[in-house]
Amino acid sequence: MAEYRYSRQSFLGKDSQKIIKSCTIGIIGLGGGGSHIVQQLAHIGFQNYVLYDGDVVQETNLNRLIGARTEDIDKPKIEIAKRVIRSLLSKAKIGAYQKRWQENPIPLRSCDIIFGCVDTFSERRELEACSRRFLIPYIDIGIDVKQEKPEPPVISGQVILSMPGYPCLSCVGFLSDDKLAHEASKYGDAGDIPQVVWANGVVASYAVGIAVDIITDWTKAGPRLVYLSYDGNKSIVTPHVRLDYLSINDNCKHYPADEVGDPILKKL
Amino acid sequence: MDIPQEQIEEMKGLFKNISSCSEGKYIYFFMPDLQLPEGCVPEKIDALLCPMSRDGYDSRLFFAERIKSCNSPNWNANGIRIIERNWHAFSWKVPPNLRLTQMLAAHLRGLQ
Amino acid sequence: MIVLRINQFLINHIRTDLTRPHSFAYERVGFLYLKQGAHDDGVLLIAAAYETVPDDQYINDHSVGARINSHAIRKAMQRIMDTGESAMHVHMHQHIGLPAFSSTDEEDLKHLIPSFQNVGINVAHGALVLSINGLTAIAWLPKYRMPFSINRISVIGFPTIFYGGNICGRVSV
Repeated sequence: MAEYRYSRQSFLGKDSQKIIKSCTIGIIGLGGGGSHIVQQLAHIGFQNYVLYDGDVVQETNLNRLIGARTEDIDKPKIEIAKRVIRSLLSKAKIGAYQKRWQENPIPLRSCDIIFGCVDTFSERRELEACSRRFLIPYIDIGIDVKQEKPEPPVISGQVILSMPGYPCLSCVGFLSDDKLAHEASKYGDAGDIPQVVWANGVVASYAVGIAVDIITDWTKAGPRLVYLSYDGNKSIVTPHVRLDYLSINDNCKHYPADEVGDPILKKL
Repeated sequence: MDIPQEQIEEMKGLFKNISSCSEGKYIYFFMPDLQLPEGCVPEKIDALLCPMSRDGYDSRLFFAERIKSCNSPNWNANGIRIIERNWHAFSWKVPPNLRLTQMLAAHLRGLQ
Repeated sequence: MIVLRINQFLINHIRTDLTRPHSFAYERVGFLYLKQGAHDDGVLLIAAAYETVPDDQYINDHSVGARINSHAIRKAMQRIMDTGESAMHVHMHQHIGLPAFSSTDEEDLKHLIPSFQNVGINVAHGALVLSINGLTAIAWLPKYRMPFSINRISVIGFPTIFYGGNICGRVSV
């Protein structure tokens, strides 16, 4: 029965369902993007989750929070995610934390892949640093809607894979001192960012596809840099132009290979 | 970033248990039980000095927890994760190109 | 539960190193150095670096695949002391499929690992054996005289490959 459920995705490989079942997936942020990811992973058959989100559902989340119902207002977002998973996988192992991941970081270390669905550059930097330390592939997604009247609003987004040993978010130019400084000057307040369900769904779907490929290797695509740029006005996703200036063989200058595990402080 | 050895020696002279670490291109100096200015609660605390430009500051001093002090600094970094530990910092600009000991003293003046 | 994570670059480098012929030894040996991480269910070992054993630190002993001398072992012990890292003895069996430790391997490790435990008291040490397309590892937790199987080994890269548990490893070459 269980295998029959996944028969339409058997092209992923002979052992793919076994691999999927054995993996633990971390998702930080269960709002617009993270809720799509949770839903898709549960359909695919991922059984082990580490989830973090400190927020509760607000009425303004209902335009995009997958799985949320009108009566869920004020319920923790982790509860919505758990319900979505359990509705498909009653025996799934779910570690769900209604807090910032930094307040209980140890469970994150057990993850085989981490999805970052966070709002700020500094959060991304911290998540990537943790992922690199514990050799965990990190997939970052985000959507931005800019409104500069009289021009029509512009929807853009990104999906970036930060694979340990390969160029990081700073190497590909997504994180920079200027962006982090600018954000800090606003005290990291992302504000009430405009968000729409379909844009979140696009980047989340790409991110899930990348994750499945990393572990099943169904595309046999080999090593590659993944920095996808979403243009929501034209409805297209393209490799980001910065990749033209980078090579898969470029060494990451930010995270050396031996800067892993719990930090060892060197006595001066 | 290369820090002159004489500046490191100066820090070692002041802080017996000082150690260093790096993460994501940033260098940090860890000082356990750093003595804080008079009137601060707690009086001593683990601290992390980042002598490099970070988040729009030329250097930054992080504390293991928020400190109660005579003034009320603007704690704008709360529970941020560096070298697998959570840290707090207040918004305080100090001049660039200071020696490490001067840099540390300038940051601590933000609590006076 | 013991989990080992190692970057694919490092595994490729190790395989290349261990397949180099030696003038008299049948196999080659190296040491993998690891950092630790606290883990909800046990121990997380993260591979940080690999060092080959230089040619002149092998003993000419044709009763075994490879025997290394005390200089090689002392050098590994020194690094454990200096860095606080764990060390793993690494060698390779030239076949396809999941490798296993031979009785000779086990006997040699019984003598080697206590030396590592003496200098790296609070960290796990172990051994890794590779085949052409697979790998298996064991670890001695601090104060234990017997090894534990490493439950899950993840080779991180494109693709990321898992060994252990109910996954028997997949061809990675």
